[in-house]
Amino acid sequence: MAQQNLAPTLLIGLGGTGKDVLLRIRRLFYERVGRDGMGTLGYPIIGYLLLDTDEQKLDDLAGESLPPFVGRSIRFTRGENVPEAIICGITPNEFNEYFSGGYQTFPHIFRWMPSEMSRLTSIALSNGAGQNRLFGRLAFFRHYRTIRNTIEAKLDQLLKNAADPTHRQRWLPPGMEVDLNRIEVMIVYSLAGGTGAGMFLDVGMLAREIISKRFQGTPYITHYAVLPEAMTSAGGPLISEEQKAKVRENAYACLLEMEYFAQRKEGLFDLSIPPKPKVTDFEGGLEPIYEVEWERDNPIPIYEPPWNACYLIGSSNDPLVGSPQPYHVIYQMIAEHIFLDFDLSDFGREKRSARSNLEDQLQLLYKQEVFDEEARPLFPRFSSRRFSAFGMAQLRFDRDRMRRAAGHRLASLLLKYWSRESDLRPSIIDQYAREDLGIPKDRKLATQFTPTLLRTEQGSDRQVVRLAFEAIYQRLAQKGMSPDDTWGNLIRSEHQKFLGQIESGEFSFREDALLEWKNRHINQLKPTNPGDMERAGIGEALRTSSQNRDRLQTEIEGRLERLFYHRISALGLRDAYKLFEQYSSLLQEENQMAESEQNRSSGLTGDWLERLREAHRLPMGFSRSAVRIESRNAVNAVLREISNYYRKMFSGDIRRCLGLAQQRFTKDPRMDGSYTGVIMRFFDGLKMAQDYLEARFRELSDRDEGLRTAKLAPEMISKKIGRVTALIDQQSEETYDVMIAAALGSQNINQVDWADIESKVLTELSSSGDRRLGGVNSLPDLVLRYSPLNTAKNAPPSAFDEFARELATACEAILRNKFAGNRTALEEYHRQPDQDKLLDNLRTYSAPYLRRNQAVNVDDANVNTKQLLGLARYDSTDAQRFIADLRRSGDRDPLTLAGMQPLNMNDDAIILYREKAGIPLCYYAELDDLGRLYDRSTRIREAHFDYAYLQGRLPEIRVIDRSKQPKLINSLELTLFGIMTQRITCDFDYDDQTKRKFKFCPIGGLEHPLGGHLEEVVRRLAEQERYRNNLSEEVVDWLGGKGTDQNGLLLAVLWAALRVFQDELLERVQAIVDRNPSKAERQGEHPLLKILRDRMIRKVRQRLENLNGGIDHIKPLLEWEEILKDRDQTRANKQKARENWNNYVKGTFRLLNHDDLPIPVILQPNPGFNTSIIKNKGTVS
Amino acid sequence: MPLIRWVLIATCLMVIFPQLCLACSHENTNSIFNWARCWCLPRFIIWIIASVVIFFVSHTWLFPYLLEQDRPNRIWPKTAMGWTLAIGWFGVCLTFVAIFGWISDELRPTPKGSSGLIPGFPGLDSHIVWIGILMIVGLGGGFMITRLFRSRRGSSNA
Repeated sequence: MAQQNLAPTLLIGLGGTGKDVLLRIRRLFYERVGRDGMGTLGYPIIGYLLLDTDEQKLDDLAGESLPPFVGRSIRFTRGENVPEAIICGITPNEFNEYFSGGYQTFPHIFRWMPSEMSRLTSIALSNGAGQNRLFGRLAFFRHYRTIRNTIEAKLDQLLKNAADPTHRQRWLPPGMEVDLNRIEVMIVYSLAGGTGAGMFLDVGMLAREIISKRFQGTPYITHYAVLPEAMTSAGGPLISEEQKAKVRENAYACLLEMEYFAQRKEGLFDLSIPPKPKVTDFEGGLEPIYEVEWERDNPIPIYEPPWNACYLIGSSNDPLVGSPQPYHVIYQMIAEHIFLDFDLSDFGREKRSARSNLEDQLQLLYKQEVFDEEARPLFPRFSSRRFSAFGMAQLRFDRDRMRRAAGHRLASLLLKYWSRESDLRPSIIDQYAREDLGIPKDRKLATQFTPTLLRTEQGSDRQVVRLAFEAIYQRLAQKGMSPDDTWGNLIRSEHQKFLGQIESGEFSFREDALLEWKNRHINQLKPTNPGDMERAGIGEALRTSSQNRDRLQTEIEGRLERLFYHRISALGLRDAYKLFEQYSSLLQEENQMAESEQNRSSGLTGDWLERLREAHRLPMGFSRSAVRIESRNAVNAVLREISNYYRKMFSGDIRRCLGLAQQRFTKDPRMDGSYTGVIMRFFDGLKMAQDYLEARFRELSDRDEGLRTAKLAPEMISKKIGRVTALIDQQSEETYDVMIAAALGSQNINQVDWADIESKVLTELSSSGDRRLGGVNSLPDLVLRYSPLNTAKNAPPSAFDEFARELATACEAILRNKFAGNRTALEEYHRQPDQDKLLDNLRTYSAPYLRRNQAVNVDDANVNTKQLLGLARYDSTDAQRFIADLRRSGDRDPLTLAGMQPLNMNDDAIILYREKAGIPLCYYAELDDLGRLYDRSTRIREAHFDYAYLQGRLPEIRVIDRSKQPKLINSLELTLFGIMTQRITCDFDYDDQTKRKFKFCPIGGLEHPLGGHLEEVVRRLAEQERYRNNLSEEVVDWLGGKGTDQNGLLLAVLWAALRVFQDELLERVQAIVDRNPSKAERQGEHPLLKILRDRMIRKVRQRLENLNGGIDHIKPLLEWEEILKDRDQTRANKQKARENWNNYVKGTFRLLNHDDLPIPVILQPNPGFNTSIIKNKGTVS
Repeated sequence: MPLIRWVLIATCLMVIFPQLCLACSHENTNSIFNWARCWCLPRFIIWIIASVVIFFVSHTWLFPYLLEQDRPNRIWPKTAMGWTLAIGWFGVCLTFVAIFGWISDELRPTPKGSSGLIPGFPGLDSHIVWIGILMIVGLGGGFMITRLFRSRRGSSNA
């Protein structure tokens, strides 16, 4: 038995059902696996494509209301280069264009689209195909090129991902391989609707065609066809009886077509008229099953059925008869079935293998004997067995999901920790702000103030950039590279020198010295080109100031960034935010100071010179002391003038520096570059992430309960009845908090060391593959990644969702192996009080969801049943006890569990999976009811996807009813007689030969319509005893009355017509035999020929023989037949005999048509028939 | 030198206004060294020494003090000198009144009290005129000095 590896897989959903199932698959992957690094839900070898004609409710799940965040996470991408969903709508204009163009313009469409479909409103197509299969198919044709390109691109991408070893390492466990030689396509749809049922065959054919032509791998196409009962049963979405009838007709038509594609019908014999052989048949070429023309003048022959495996899924199984499951439960089961195909355990591997290992079963045929009235076998009828069914039930508690829920809860609590309210007093905030910026309360102490913060970080307070006015001024006034070499220090040292000279008496009154001192410095500042301060002509001091400013701005940026990092790390986000607000206020005050400095007059007109002169002029001893004092005052005044001038000239640069710092702390959220804004925006983002996490947590923690309660009556919930039984009840937030605290080693959640959790989470985040989170070391890092400083916009909401997911994943990683790690599904099961009920549940709900027709032979139909039991460590004592219990409970079950294969899988679930492969369509219990509706339908042409081609080729798929079968054969005989004797007439539409109307016209009675094709007429007669009896009387009357006129002349014509019909059939059957000799040999004689020969021809001949002279009418014909049969006769003689035969019967009957209905219809015998007999009598030797 | 100049001025005034000098109530004391004599030498010596001290203090302390005041309207040097001299002049006058008035009982209160111009100071009834004149001279002279030695720049904003 082959062990099946994973293969690149494209999941295609068609219509509403396909959409729903695909969304559920995406949710399962999202919940249990998450997104991969490339954004794919699940694994990168899985692609999704939805084709739907209805754009509305594209993100909704039936029977459940998805939380918005889950909807966002799993919804299909549209409108991208390679979309996940294509809306195949057709606008009213396009619709009208098609129908006004008609066959002339769109022959490839109107080959199969009846023109009368234009009567249906085109509005139906813009909001779905409205249960009209042909509209679904029209939508596929309309969007064919887009669909084809998308499928090609998706397969390309999947193969590329599968072939890339670096991608594989990320998700593929050791020992698991990806099979690059196999390309899987899974198509999910409902047979009841319009879109899915209208395009599933085309999509299957297209997928096979693309893979065969463009890719190296072998296509393996699996169909999941949901049967209509889920839709039409009570509680289903369809309410009106008309709609229900329509979808049932559609479904039966689909099943007929599927059977047609499943077996090459031309190789099989039944009661239908074999198709006319084509010329190619005789050249040994294989006739295609179908020829599809998606684009005009580009026909593509189809040789294989559009699937390898096809699951038929009803709404209930045999044990559940009378209790159909809601359709969304069925959708969920299909989703889980597909999801488990990607399970990496032994169970998943075996499940994958089952499908391909059972493929041989699908090639077999199901044989039913058809008997005549005397219970003699008339012929064997063969049906394909290309269909499968499955059922799956689980007992689970889903630890992964609980852990994910706990991860989300922990992440949510961590976000609350990050958003915690401030508990610092305003005075402390002010103190911190002043320390950080170097702005003391007592401004006179500014120069002595040294913030400790950066001294410890930088190692030297020389590098501290304080953000007070004076501090910035000192840094701008730096003259050389040394921090001491500033213009301020130079001035001060010169000032001290002057004072020293004055005190020591060395300095006599020299105004020129002071003036020189002052002018020297003013000139350092004075722009040589006053109109352009920025150009090279500015004074030396100013030039150095500008250069220093550039350097200082970088330092300020760095300093502020360090403050941002330090304060958020030390105080948390809320306190840091308040602190930054305080920064903003303080910096505003400093900026106002700089502004007033800038606006102050230059102050260069001091009176120190006049005062000095006056002091000198004073009399007596006053002069000496006044000059000394005034000299000192003059030196101080000049110093102030120079300093003020420097401050004034530098204040522009100071303001720029302060402005930069202010900008970094502005509270205006529209401004970019603000750390305050960064935190504000990050809070907004945190809120989004918080909402996401809380809602996700609720969703995850409610899911078991949701699965159990959805659409179930309360008494069923209490009895734990359902396909999926939760082993653990819904857990409250408090319970989760207790479990999380225990996993983290704390008594309760309030005692958790959040700083430690933060550190661990950040470590986890930094190693995540997320682009934004790579290398994140601290909370401030995180803040800046999601709320960047250089833009006023946050990362998009999707990024915060992504962040929340990553955070939850990181938290989950912290809880790994600690949270609920000691619980297993088996242990939980053993704790349950009602174990027998659970076992019954498991068995009952896992039976394949296709109810068996009781008339079908069980031994023949149950060809192969695969039963897999997935549970962890199945060889353990507990597991063996469970298996024994399950087997014991199954002893009472008609669907025995013998052959059930236990397999290892995750320890949080026990899954019983049962699959039947090789099922014929007649196995389906509802088929007869569907067929009955179909037979009565007046819209059969609209129910089929290409009725023009399929009519006459469609097989009988229902089980043979032995009580009705003889009536069927009798009806066939009657029908043929009726047509030939014109008791049954057939009206043709001369514009469209496919439109026919058979009518029974009793003499003197009203016409009774009998259907549009031969098989239908036969079936209707078999069912309608009154018609059958009437027709039988009419035919018997004809045979015994009109037919016996002129010695049975018309009977003779009838005999000849039957012989001609027999010859035509022989020729056609011969072509089949030539093409399929082995198949023909197995089937024996063709039943129609047998009926013709043994019943009809024999009956007519007997009547002729019983009439006096009756046999004489056909004697020449018999003689010519002898010549034709005689092998010794020359070819010329045979040809002559054939010509005579033809001439003899010429004009006595006509064929209904020469293609699918070569049934002769008796005309009035021409005079020649009789004459010929006389004339030719005795001339034949 | 300035002190000598002031002494000469005072001597001239005494010669010009002998009545003022004869206002002393104890004319019967002839010894110039007798403290009780109105215009005795010790009183003059003390008065002169006090005047010197006053001017010295004004020059060495008051004048720099006024100049060094760091305030918006800092006083100009010449104005400061005027204020220094004016205060010195007023101090000298005040000292003269104190020495000559108080020691000669005019400004000394009687223990029992008495009625008169100023109760308790009966001596003032007869000497209030010259004391008043001297105080006016002191204040007026001081004012004149400040007006005389005033910088034309006025107050400074330096």
